[in-house]
Amino acid sequence: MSTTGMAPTDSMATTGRDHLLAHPLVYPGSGCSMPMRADIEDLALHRARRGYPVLTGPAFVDALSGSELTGRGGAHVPASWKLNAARDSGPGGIVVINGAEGEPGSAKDQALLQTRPHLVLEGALAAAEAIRARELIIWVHESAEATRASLAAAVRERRDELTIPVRMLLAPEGYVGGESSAVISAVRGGPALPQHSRDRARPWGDGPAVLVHNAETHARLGLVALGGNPVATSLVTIAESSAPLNFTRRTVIEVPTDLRFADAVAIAGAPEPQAVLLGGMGGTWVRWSDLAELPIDPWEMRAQGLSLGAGIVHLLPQGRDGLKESVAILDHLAAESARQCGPCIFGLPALADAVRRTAKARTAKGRSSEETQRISDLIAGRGACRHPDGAIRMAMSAQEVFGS
Amino acid sequence: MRLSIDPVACDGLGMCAHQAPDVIELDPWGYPVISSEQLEGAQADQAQRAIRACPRKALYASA
Repeated sequence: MSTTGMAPTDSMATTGRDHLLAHPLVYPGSGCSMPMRADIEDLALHRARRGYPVLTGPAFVDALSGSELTGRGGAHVPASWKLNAARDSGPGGIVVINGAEGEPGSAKDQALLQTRPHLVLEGALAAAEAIRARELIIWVHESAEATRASLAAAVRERRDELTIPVRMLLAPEGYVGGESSAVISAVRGGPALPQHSRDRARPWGDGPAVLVHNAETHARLGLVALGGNPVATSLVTIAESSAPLNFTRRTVIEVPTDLRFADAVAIAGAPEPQAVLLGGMGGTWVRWSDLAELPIDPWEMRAQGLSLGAGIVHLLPQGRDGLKESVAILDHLAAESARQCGPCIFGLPALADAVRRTAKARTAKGRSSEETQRISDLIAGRGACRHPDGAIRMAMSAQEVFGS
Repeated sequence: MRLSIDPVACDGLGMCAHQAPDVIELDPWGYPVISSEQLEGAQADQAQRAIRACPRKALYASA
């Protein structure tokens, strides 16, 4: 087994410039309590390990533009595009740390917010300075008590050096409340529901920006500000479950770009799966035999037509039925619809039913696959957010991997 | 012009499909499926009528 996935604690103590975590963090069960063996960087430890920001304002923007950092929430939009669009919208905007992870299989953002709150704040404050924002908002679930406590303590520690107000805003439970257009709406006092944007490059519309990144992206902006390399590693959550969506253990691992999926699963101590749902509920099923030897490198994966999405490696154990698993996930996604857009309200249950029929009558494969395809074509791209498109991607890949 | 839709505002009332039968089809649930093509002539006229007819103001012209 390779152990290169773990940043050595010794070098972490001396540099810490390119790394987020010191060792894998394990969350037993599906809750938001602190991980086992948590190693929490308070402000003194953060400064001792990582120093002070060396790149601010225009120097920070230049370093980011040269860095190839993409957002780690799923869409992987270059972080410099969003920052530049936000700067062009003028001063007085808002930077948001989106801590409302809606994927039940993910734990990487809560791991960072709980154990590396100052690295996340470092990135958010550097972005705020670069776009001359007036406020930093932390968007986090009310139920995430350990996360809220850790962030509140970190903000208190920085009280005397903050130049803009920082406040916490509580997100409603559920999947779409963490979608970025829903976050933009909520911080402006609107409903925490996805909104239609007429200009995808400026989802906040006219006026000052609302720049939203998840915790990992902010932590990586922090690495940029501290003079490190933000793309030397990726964060993944190896998600093990005892039944569909009943997660029993989630292991957050920081992986260098040459680590293979087989190595990451071995580090997590998980048995080899039959297949992996890569990226989260709206991700892509991949046979383990096609994935095991592949390096966890976002660029290499893109070349193979794959995406890490939100970094979730959802393991399907040997002996479980992949189509039934997919139907359970589709039912969940249908129930999590914000119920705003017709193609999502009506299309997702129809999609779930089509895959359910394939699962029940595998002999009629041809007909059912066509039905899934037909519904997918009908609803693709027709929601205000990408929720239905993720469901389609998952359903089509399920038919492909488990349909025969 | 191109025709665009705000799917959050749309309630599937279906007025648009009557005004612009050559541009808009309704899906099985009554929500409009809109051509993403550049519209000209009679099709553009239909699209403008559909924009005016929508009680939810969910349709708009874009470049």
